[in-house]
Amino acid sequence: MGQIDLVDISKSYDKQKNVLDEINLSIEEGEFFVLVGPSGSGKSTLLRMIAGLEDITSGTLKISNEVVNHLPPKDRNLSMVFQNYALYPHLSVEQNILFGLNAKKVDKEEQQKRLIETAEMMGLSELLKRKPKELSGGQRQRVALARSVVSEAPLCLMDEPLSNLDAKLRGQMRMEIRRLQKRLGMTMVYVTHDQVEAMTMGDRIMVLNDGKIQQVGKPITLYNEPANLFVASFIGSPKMNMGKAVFHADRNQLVIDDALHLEIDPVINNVPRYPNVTIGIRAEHLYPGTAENTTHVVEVINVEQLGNETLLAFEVGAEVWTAKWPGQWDVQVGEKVPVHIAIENLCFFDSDTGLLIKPARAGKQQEVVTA
Amino acid sequence: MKKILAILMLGFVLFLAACGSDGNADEAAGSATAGAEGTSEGSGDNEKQVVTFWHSMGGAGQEALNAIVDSYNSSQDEVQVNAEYQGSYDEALTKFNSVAGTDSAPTIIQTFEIGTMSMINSGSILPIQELVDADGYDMSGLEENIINYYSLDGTFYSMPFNSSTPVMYYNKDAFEAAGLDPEAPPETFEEVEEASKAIVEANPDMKGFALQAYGWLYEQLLANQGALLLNNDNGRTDTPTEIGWTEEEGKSIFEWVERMVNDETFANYGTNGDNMVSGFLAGDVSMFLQSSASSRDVIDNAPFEVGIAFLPHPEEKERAGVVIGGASLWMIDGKPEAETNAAWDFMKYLQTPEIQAEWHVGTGYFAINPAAYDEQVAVDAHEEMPQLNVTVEQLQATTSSFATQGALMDMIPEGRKIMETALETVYNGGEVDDAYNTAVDQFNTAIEQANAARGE
Amino acid sequence: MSMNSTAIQQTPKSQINFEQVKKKQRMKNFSKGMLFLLPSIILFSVFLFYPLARTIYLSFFLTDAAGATTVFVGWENYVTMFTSPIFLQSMKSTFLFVLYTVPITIIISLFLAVIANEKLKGIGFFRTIYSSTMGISVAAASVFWLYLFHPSMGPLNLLLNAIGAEGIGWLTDTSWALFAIAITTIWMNIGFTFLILLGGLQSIDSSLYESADIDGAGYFYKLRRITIPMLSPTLFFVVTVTIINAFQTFGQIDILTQGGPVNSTNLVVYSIYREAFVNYKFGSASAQAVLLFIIILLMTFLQFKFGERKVHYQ
Repeated sequence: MGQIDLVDISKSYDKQKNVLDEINLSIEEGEFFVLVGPSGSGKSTLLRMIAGLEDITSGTLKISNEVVNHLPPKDRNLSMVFQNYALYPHLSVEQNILFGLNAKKVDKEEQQKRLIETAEMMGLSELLKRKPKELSGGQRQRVALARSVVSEAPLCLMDEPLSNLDAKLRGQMRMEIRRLQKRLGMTMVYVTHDQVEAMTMGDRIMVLNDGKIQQVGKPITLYNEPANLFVASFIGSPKMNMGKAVFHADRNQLVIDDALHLEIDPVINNVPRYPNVTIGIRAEHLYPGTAENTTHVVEVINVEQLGNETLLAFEVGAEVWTAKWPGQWDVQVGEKVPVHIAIENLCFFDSDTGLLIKPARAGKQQEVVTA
Repeated sequence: MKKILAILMLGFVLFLAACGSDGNADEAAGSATAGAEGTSEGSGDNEKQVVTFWHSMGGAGQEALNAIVDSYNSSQDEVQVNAEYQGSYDEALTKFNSVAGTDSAPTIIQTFEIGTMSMINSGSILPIQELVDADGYDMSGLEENIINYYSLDGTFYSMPFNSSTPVMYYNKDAFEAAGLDPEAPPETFEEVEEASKAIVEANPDMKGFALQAYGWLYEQLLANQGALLLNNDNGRTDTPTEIGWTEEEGKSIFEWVERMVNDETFANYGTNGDNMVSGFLAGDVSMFLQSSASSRDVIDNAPFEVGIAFLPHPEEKERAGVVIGGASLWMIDGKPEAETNAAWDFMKYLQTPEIQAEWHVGTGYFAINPAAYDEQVAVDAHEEMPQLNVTVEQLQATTSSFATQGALMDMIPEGRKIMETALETVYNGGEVDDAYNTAVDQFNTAIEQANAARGE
Repeated sequence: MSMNSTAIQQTPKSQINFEQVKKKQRMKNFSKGMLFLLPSIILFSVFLFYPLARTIYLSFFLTDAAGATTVFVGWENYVTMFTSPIFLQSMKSTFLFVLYTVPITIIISLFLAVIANEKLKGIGFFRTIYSSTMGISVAAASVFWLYLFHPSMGPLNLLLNAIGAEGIGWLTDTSWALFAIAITTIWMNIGFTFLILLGGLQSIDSSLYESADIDGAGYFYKLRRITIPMLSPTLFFVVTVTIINAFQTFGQIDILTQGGPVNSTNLVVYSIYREAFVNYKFGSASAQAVLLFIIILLMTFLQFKFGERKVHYQ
């Protein structure tokens, strides 16, 4: 039993196709839970159903073990931050923060106390008399957060709160929200379409596509063991390199997209014997080849220098793969470079169902460092 | 948003000011009709001389007039008369003022009697007298009282056309029910009051008498006492400088109304004549004063027997008679001779006994040419509706004097409005003295201003 | 020495050239701008500026029936106007009329707009109904009300009679006539005002209400703290336009009362009309028009000056 339990939750408009299809989910108390998915996946709808702003077509929603399907938003004891912040343009920052407390007729002294605390915490003390239009994007974001904080609701819902900010500010706010959530111990349900936000902020992530749950799990699990092709391509940047793979048992070769041949040692490598297999490999697992271990030589078609790492793009059949090499590499477009591709770094998916057959081994062994 | 608002607002304001200033819009409307006219001219028979005739006859009058124009157009093939309705007399005059002197001006315009002076002063009309002299036309065949009104210093300015006088309509059935003699209608103010009381007593749902707040009726009630509206013999010997009636004459009407208002026998329809007529037809009021031009309409539509009587007068005064009301036709100056002659031919046609008889019977206006009453149509109609005869009798019983010749002055429309306001004040329980004195002051001021505006 | 002087001369010369180029550019820009403005300048001149100037000019003259000036009288038309009890009564009626119509129109329209803004089945039908008076011309509406106000056969009086009350002389009683015109006007204006206010309501971000719902705000709390303030720019526009409209009321008066009874509905614009086209006193009519222009300008200015403080543009 968690703080929020969704049992067979579905949503449809006008009795047509389900926008959300039988969602079962449990969110724990104090958890930072991220709903991520492309636009139109139903993640915002799901959040608004939890808030009580949308009707639940079928299924049961429980908050703190109580069925709340029928309750209006105000009786669900939660707060919400909207994508556009929903600040009242005609009210000052102070009035905006206190709007909810006023509506609930909270005692004036209590209001002031909470206001001062919250403003202090959010760094808004100097801005209380200003109107929203006199604030910067980040300051407005803080006011919206402050409204949630001041309500002292144990559950906070956020609907893409950072999408209106520029990249630098977004990074900063990610951390602030995360710290705030931990500090206040609130349960957070956070909707975003940005997988970086999801990865960096969430205790757990739910990937949603087309109204269906794709995978629920810790960020690292999603990264290393994507449950299906969708999650594999959605999580991670640059996205996972994919290709259709055919296994030639006679030659002990795995042929990817009719272009890349991988030698397989049938004793060591346990390659799944499915008729239609799609393989995936993370960019960081396409290592620079040394004299000893070079398996392939590829022609670079694009180079991105990021300073701490270098992204190299090359063609594999019809696909473009990207390799991420740590450090700075002086490679020109058109140059042929050696790479090392290891069978154990491949994820195997069933092309028909899209489901994961076998995750990459390397990830587990090498990358998760336990402190 | 702010700027757009400000501009919008400025636009509104300016546009309003523009509309208030002069007849721009009307000018545009005038030229539009002129354009339409031109095309009809082109498509019609090229040989026919076209005469444009602006009139203000709506409803039954328009039908009767159109029938006459059609009969004229088909009676000969040299002249084509195009009759165009231009709204009320006021509206038509306003339009005329804005096109006077241009090609858009009509050949003939129908104007009400109180517009006489402004038409003469406008300088854009051709006095009929010139055509009468040139043609050797004999005006003496026309009704004397009518001729009196439209000639000034022995000159005819316009051709009388639709003339009416005010009469008193009464509900004969209601009279009978109240024990009054339906064949002996009240003749004086006092008798009207008595009859009203009897009516209300017999039927509390019916009021006795209604007087529309209409300046023309007030003028008629003055004339019936032999009183002048304006000094200098109603403006016929010299330009008027002030009112022509005495306080006793003027106030008698107000006091008469006030007494009936206090008796609660008076029905107040304000300035709305249509409501008054429909009230009468619905049996809400038993007597009212109105132009004889409505008689045909009222008789045809009433579910009871309608009586028509002479205009009442105060007991202590002799009945002096009524002023000829209605309108006349004006010839516009500066048109080609052929067009003017064609228009003159049409005017003469209108005065023939047959046409006048048709006009009289069809509307209730009376015949300009008394010979019309001998026409069979008229004889038959009078037999069927003897009430139509009353208007004729009343006019013939009128003694010709400056009072019954009617007043000439260009401020009369304004004067009427002033008297209407005063009457309504009394209807609404205002003091007679206050209302009367205010009205007289305003009336005199209006005369002064009108004289000043002519620069005299 | 000579070298020196040429050097000095040359420097300012090049500066002047530079300035001239800029000036030339500015002139070019200006004339291009004027070219774009030309159509509206011509239109405004013909239909607004010239008539306005002409009105002011006329207000200093007496005129004949055709509107031609006859005698120059200076300020006399204005003096006469301010001492005329009829005109003063007309001003009083106009202000009373504005007072009757504007607040009630806006309150009713706001109420209708708020209820029509709810997302209910078939709400489109009601929106159409509420805004339908916008599609009715002043003339048609007036004739319709003329019938309603008919002293003996009008439904209003029939209703009064049916409940045992005395019929009211809607258009003939001095204490009712202005009120009757006001009712007619309110009825006619509701359509337009409703539509504008509804538009304003719909442009309010729904997340504001959702946020308030989560905060636990009640219906009237939301109405007072969100709807009205967020609607204030629209309300401001509507108030301004309604006031100007009220000052310019003409059609319904011409059809219903002709300014009567006892001048109680003789509003300024009708008075101007009567002065000009019935009495043929274009001079004093122009003086009244100029005064009306000044009053509306002043009212609008005051509204912007004081009313706008309470307006929150987004």
